[in-house]
Amino acid sequence: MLLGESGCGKTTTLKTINRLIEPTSGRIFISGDDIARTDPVILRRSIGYVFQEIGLFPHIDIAGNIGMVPKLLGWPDDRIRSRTAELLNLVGLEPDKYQNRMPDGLSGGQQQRIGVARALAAGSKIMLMDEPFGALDPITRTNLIEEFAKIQKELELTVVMVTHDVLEALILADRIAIMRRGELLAMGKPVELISRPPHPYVSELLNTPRRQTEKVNRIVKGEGKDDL
Amino acid sequence: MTYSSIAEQLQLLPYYLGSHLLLTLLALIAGILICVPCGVLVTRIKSLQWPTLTMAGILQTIPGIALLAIMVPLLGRIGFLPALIALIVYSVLPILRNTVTGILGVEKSVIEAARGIGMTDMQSLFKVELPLSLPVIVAGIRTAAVWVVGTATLATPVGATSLGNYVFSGLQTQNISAIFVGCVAAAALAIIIDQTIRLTEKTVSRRNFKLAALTTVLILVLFAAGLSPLASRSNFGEANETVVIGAKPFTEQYVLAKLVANNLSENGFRPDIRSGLGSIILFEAVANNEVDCYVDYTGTIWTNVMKRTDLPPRDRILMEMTTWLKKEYGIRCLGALGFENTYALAVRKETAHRYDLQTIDNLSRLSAEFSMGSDYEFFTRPEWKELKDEYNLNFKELITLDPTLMYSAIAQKQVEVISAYSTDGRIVDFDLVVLNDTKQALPPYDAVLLLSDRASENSSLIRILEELIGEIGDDAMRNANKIVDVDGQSVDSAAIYLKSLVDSSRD
Repeated sequence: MLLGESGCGKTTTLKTINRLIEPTSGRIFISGDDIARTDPVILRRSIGYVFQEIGLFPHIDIAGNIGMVPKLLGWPDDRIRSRTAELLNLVGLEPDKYQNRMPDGLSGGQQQRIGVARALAAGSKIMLMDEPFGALDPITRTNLIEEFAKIQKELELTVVMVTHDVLEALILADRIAIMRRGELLAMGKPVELISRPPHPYVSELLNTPRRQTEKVNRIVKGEGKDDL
Repeated sequence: MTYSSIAEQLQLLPYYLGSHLLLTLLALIAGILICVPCGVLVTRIKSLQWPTLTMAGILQTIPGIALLAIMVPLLGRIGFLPALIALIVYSVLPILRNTVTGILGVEKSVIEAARGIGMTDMQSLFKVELPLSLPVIVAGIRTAAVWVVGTATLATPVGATSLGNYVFSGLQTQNISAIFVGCVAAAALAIIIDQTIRLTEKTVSRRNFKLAALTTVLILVLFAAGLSPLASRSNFGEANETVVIGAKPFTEQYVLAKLVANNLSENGFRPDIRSGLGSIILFEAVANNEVDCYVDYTGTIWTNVMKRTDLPPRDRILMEMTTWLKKEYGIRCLGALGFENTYALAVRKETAHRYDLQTIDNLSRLSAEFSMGSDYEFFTRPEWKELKDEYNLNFKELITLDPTLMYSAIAQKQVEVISAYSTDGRIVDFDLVVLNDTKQALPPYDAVLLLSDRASENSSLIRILEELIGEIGDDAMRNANKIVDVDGQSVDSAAIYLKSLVDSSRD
């Protein structure tokens, strides 16, 4: 989980992994292979990619959006069809009801479910997610985070996710990398980072949800909003 | 405008419409094939964007008729090709601009998704960017289509047959039915092509099979109509030899071209009239064997082509011209038709009375107070310079007009003097007085029949054309012109009148 303020370099780091951006220095290995030696197009087809703007193809129906990568990979049609139905079930949308709809007929939450399904379609075990739930309303967002955590466990996915939401990072992450002004400040398990912060900024950042909760509690007790 | 006169014009419709359609469709298809890939390239190589779009913008500011006209000297020929290329150039801007804006207008997130899931640049282009920008690109093609259909009507003066033939000849011969049919046909064609393109887009983007069938039928019909003039020509081609007859843009020329055409088709030839061509364009077309025959005037060739300033007697002019044309261009002069059509300065009868005008010489003292109107050519020709210097003419204003409108202008007192044609029936009809050229500043303008090098090898063609030599006198030609210009009858009826005179004199 890449965590940090806007403009600190999280997204840039993420995009170097599927070579949407080429690193100026350093090397990246996936399962021991230097990705600089892999064709970027083949690399990207083997890595799922989900981002905040979703980017569904508005002129193609839901089934076509989900089946795009398998189609690029040359899967036979019936295999693509059954895979699409399987994925729609996985992200909690009935295949018969949704597969022939166009993307603009769906809510934001439903669209991002399709975005996740599209990223999973070719069976990649690696997912890159750039603030995938950032544009959703809080309730939809919480539901989706929980469901995605389940999917991740079930499919044993390796996910690199960018977020600036501390709570989301704490709930989902095995390991958190905290970035600031283009540099890696700290990396470790959430518990370790909270209990033994290597840097005052890390402590301040990771304790934000706790401080917010305390404020909420005070409001609930009627201690006034002025302190906020 | 009567039903019968419209019906008469409608007989020409298949040929004009088909030629117009072929020109338009080919220009549009070439425009799409050139501009869409160029537009795509420009979105990939950003540094090309500004120069390309600016260049296209500049081309668009050239008026359609100028663009068509400039293609003739550039390509060194008249007819279909220069018209086609000018129209392709005309279709560039809307298609190119809309392709670029369409593709650049595709949402960035969608393009990022396409790259992110592993599409190659080509896949992203064909599966995502082009389908999403299709409506914008098609809008550009539709704009281009309407422009091209409209501008193609201006292809007539460069020798390409189009619906413009109706408009140009209709204007010259005051045939309202012809103008009307031309306008309606051009407008209808623009609408049909525009709607066909719209339907095609709908079919492609919705994958609707009923629409697809309808669209295919429409497109096939359009193409079949466009190719029909070619097909009919090639069918007859084996039996009948095509002879291209040229005509300058005024009534007399239309009538004579029609007369020649009628005589040729009676004898098994297939005449093809290219009307509305300017003097120089027409002469060069004959020199290049693109036009087989036309009627010109000795004075025009003498001063404009041979650049002579001396004026020997008319027989010597005809003789020297005949030798010179053969030697320099291989053009054969068959001989004089029998009448002269000279430029003649004419004034209203009341003007002549009031100022006591009988000769051009009388005009010189008054010219500073008068305006003069003339046709498209006269003021730029050496004859005018000669006339002006010889008589010391210095008019208040020189106005270039369509020959038809020139007569209205003098009748409505917008100009005092015009350069009338001496065989024109309207001189009498508009009550004009012709001023004598006492100093003989203007050369004689005997009408002569000229043949291209290629056509002069065809003895049976020459035999038919020679029947006209010396057979059409001043009165006959003036009457024929009057039939069209004053009586408002068709060019065809004037041609039939002339033919009856020629035939009866032979009998």
